[in-house]
Amino acid sequence: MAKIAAEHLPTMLRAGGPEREAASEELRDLLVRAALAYLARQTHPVEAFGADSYASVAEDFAHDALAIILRDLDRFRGESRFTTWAYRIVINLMADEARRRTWRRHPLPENGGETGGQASGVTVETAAERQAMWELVHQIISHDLTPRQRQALVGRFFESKPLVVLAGELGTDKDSIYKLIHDARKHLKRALRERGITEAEILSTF
Amino acid sequence: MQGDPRFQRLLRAVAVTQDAEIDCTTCLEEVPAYVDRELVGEDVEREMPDLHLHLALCGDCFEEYAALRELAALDASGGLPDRSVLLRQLDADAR
Repeated sequence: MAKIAAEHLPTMLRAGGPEREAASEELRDLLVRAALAYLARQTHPVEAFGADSYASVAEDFAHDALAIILRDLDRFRGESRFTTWAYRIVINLMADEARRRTWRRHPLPENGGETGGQASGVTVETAAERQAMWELVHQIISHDLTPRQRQALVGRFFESKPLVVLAGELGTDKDSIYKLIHDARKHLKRALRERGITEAEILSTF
Repeated sequence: MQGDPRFQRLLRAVAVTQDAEIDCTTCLEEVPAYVDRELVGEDVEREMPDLHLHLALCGDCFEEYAALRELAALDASGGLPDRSVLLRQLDADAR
C-alpha cells in the first residue's frame, strides 16, 4: 500500500524539505513499478536495453523520469491524475530507448509492385485499380515531395522506422519528423484530389 | 505493392489527413488527460478530436498511449503491483 496518497504528491514535491524528500521516494517507487509493469507488458528482453537485469533497467529509467518530473513539475496542470502524468514520462523514455536499440530495417520491394497474380478474393478490376493507385502515389512520392519529406514518409510507412530513428537520421527531432510526414501526406492528398480522386475513393480502394 | 498493407496504411493516413494536426509533443502532454477521461467513460473522440486523430496517425504515440492506458487502469483499480510481483513475472516470462 502506498505510504503517501498520489494526489498529495504534487503539493509535497513543491513544498521542499522533508516533505519533498518523502514524496520523491514514494514517487520513485511508483516509477520503478510503472517501468517494471511496462517491461512486463512489452516483453522486451533485458538485453534490448543493454542491461543485465530488469530491476536495473527500471531503476535507471525511474531515476531519469523523476528528474524530468521534478524539473517540469509546474507543467502538471491537474487535468489528469498525477500518476498518469508521471507514468507517461517514464513510458516515453523507455519506449524511445527501446526503439533506438531494437529497430530493424524493412527494405522496400525491389520492383516496387506486383507484376502478376492477385490476392485471393480480389477481382481483376480491383487489382488493376489498386495498381493504378500505387503507380500514381509512387510517382508523386518520387517526383513531387522534397527529399526530406520523401525520406521521412518512406522511412515511416515502408521501412517502419520509429520517429526517433528518423529524427537521428535527419538530424532533427520527432516533432519535425511528424511535420515532414504530415506535409508529405497533405501533398499526396492534394495531388490526388487534383487528379479527381476523392477521399472516399482513396478509402474504397481497399 | 498494391496489395501491401504498408501501402494500405499510407492511403488510409492520406485519406484522413487534416490541414492542421498536433505534433507528438502536444500529444504526449495531453494524452494523460485523454487516458483518464477515457477510463471514466467520457467520449474522448468527441472531446479531444485532435489528439484522437494523432493517435490514429502516429503509431509510436499510439503504442505509448496503449501502455499508459493499461497502467492507468491498474492504478485506478487499486494500484500497480509490488516490485517483487512484477520482477517474478518478468523472470518467469524470460525463461
